[in-house]
Amino acid sequence: MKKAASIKVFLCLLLFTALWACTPDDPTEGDFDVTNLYGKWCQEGTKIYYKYNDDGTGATWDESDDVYEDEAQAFTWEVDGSEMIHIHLTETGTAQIPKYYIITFLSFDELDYYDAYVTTKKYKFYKVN
Amino acid sequence: MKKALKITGIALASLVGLVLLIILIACWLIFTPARLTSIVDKVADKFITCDTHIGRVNLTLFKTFPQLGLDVNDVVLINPTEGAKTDTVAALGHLTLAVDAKAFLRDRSIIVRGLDIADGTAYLYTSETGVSNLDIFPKSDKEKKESSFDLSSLDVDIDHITVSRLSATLDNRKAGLNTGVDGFDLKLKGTLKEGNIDAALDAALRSAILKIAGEKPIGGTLSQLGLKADIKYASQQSGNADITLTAGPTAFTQGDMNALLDKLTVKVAGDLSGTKSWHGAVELAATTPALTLGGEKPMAVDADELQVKFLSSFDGTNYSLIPASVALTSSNLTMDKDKLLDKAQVALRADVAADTTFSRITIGGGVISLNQFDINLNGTVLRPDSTTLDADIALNTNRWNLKEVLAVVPKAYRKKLSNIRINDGALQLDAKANAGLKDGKLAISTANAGVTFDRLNGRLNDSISVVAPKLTASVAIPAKKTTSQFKEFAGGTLNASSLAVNIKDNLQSSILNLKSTFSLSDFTDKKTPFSAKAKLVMDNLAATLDTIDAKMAKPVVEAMMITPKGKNPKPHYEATVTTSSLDGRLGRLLAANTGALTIKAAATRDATKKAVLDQWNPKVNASLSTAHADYAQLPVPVDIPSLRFDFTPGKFTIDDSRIKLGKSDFSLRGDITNLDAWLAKDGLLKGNLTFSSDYTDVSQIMDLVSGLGAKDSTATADANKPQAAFADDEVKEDNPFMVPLGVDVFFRTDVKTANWNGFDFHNVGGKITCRDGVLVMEELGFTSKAATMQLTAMYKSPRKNHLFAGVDFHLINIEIDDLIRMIPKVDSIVPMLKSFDGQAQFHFAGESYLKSNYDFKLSTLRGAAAIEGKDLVVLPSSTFDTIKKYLMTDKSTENRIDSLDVELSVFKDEVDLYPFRVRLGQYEAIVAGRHNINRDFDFNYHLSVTDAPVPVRLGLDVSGTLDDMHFKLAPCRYNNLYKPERRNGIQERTLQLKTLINESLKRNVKPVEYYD
Repeated sequence: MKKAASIKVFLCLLLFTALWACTPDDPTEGDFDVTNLYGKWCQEGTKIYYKYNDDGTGATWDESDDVYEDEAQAFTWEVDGSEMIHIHLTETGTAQIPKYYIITFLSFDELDYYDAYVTTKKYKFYKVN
Repeated sequence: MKKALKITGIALASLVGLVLLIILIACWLIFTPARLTSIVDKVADKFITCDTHIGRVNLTLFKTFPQLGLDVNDVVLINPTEGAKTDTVAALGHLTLAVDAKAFLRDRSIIVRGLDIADGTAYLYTSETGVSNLDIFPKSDKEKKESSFDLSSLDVDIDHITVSRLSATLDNRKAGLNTGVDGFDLKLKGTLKEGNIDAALDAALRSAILKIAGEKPIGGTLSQLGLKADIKYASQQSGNADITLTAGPTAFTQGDMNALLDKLTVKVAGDLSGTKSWHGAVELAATTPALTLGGEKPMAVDADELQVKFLSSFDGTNYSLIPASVALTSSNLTMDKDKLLDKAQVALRADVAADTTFSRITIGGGVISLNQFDINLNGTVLRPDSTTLDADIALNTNRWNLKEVLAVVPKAYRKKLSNIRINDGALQLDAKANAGLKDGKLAISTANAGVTFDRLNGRLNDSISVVAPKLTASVAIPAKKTTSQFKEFAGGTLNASSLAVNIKDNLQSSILNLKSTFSLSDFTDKKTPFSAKAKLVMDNLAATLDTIDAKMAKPVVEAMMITPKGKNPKPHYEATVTTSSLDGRLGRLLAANTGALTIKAAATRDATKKAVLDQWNPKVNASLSTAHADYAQLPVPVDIPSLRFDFTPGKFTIDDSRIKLGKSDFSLRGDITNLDAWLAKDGLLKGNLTFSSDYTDVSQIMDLVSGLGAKDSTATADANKPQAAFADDEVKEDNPFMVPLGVDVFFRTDVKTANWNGFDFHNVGGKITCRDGVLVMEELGFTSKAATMQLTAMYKSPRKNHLFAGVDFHLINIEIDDLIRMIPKVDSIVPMLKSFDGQAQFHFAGESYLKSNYDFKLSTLRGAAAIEGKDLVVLPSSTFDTIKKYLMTDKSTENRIDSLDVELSVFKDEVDLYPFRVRLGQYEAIVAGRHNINRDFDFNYHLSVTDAPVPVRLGLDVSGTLDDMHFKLAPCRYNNLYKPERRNGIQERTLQLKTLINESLKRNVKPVEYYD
């Protein structure tokens, strides 16, 4: 009985040590030329569009869902280091729906980022006219 | 003695006979034909200026006994005239003149007693310059001939005048007259003395021709003419006449008019009394008479026989024709190639009387008949002066069978009536009128007309059928009832015991006991604008249109049109419809009935305005009570205890409306304005309405109206599709609710109790706005036993396959199990919430565009929620037990958490559960993660133990689906989340966003006190 308890405590200590050592690094550091973001982007392999204006506003639509640019939904955006925050605005009430992304690559015509919340979800966009 | 007398007598007779014989022999010796011929020649030369040839003249006594006769043969008058066809003016084969011998012997006077002419011809010619071959008399005689003629001064006592086989031709080229007779025979006997006539005439003519040149040349042929006349006339103005005229085939033309007949008989008989009165009879019979008229609209009329009869009389003050009749047998009439009569029997009969000046004419017993159709006519016509005519006429018909009427309608008109088919029915007309014509203007003093249809059964256009056992209509002038709205000229009625009107494959309607009245303004006066008024009262009105059935009990319809005087009159219309009850049925879909229903409408038309509402300026007031409806797609009936509204061009006002739907009752009151601008497309239709209810069962109403109007196939397909609301299937073009454009309607809700999913909400008050394609429920607040709530919702329909729905919903202090029961979708968004028991606040905002079938367009789904709770109990569950087992928490740990503070966001199909902290006894954990709104609801959560009695900080990943969960120990991801000095940038940002969600959601929440 005592032996079993000792094994249990040992395993806990071992796990604690292992987990402590695996605390992830902070990925928010980064430096991108935000002016490259201005314009209309299309997600690779889709008809999903994002449009970033230089005043921090934006719009998104998905033509595969029978929604077009003039029917796009508005959001505001900000880039801080490698963080990109989209705040989607609702027409009903005052609620704001945030989406939090980490930019990994931004050039004049390519944008790569992943979901800060589910890091395995990655997105690639190309600028379109 | 006797013998002596006998001998004496014989001797005297012999002596007289001898004397006479000697005289005759002496005359024969003295007046030989040669001598007589010479004498007559000399006499003729004295009286006739042209060449005369007399063949032989004999003196005769036996032929003309007891008159002395002069027998002349072969008399020829020759007067060559330029242009004449012959020099012979006249040639008589034989002429015998009987002279009164006594008068000649007594006083040498020549008194003609008889004249016989036989075998004579005459040719009377007048050239274009007026030279006539009849200028054969000395001028002095001619002047005498042209002197005035005085019948009373003429004494004639003729035993006979006979003419046999006489032919004559009159060729007057100056007058354009060319006429001739052939085979003229005449027998005349009579006396004319001091104006008294006693004559007997028998004349016959084999044939005659007539030609008169001119703009409309006249031509005629006559054959087999016979004339018999007995005339007696006394100078005291009494006498009688009996005249018979017969004729064989006769023809007459004048211009483009042609008239002919085969046989004509005219009989005239009359008596003239000494008191200036007379009576007579005329009978005319013509066989196969025919008349044709040319011109632009040619006309032809003929008949087998024409008969005209009348008895006439004059009593010194009045003329009369009693009776007078005209009859045409088997007559035909064609006008402009249209055959109007075809072998018709036409007859006119009347008793006609007139005064000596014809200023008063009366007609009695008049009948105009066309085949079996009679028009009876009686009346009086007054003509007080030459410009005035007054008539008082009564007219009625016998019973006219409508099928027979249509059969006699001329073919030309029958084509126009070809769309009318009469199966049965008859009509009878009865009319009276008193009217005047002054200087060409008609003025009707009084008039009454009535028409009765019985067994009416007809069809129009082979599609509209009318059946009425008895239908009567009448018109009266002046109207019997008067109204103050306009000066009534005529009034009338239209009544039917029953009337059925059906439109094939469309409408069937029936009216029971229709009684209607109407009145009209003076439509004969062009200066008076037309106005009219009508009232229809029915016992019952039923109509069926396709699957629609409607029945009205005791309906009354009153309508009026008034046109005021003026240059641009604006007609005013009013109508009122009332019924004691109305039953309606729409197939198996809808059955409805009402109690009393009243609709009042008025409109004034201004043709100068462009917009329809401006033009008509309508005003409507309607009310109904105790209405009840059963709608097949509603499991509960709809009751409307009362409904009352007013409509004016600028405003539609619902004064009162109470509706009961299932367990719910509600009423709608308020105004809808700016209609005119809305119709003119100058502005929005505005409304300000109050929706109030004592009790509204929202769940029931939503169940009741859910799927209304959706096709069955669609509904079935949707029902069979799991999680159809979230499926990204192909677009189905359904028929979604489209919010009206151009309207701005505001509803204020005042619901005392509303029940939804078993929860009672009280004092539900707020605003609902429908503005130009956007429907908004704004800050709708209410309270319930479970919570205080606030709801803002929006629905837009920019296009059919792009609809928008959004809500902003706040539940304050609600039991979590009530929340999940109230909004089951919450369990999909926050699955772990059902693991807790206790009170919480729930704030949710979400929106998405929808497809036409109301499926989400997931790419547009946005949402955020915040749930806050305190002192919650974690309910026992296998999931919770598994988590405790993995995290090695104490089994005795109390399943109670002090507080819960959950924020989550929804973006497209992703639901992000932001880290929230829960404390169970000595344990504290932070939970976060994401799940997807897809068919499986797959999720990926992480649970970090941040405080525990043991030094180990474990993490646990929970992933998979609700049916297939996977638990896996993992590094403690949020150990430093609530340690500001140690958390990383992402954690810092995550908390910021969590706060942003919380604060933005609560920004417009009203304090709890607001709802108390």
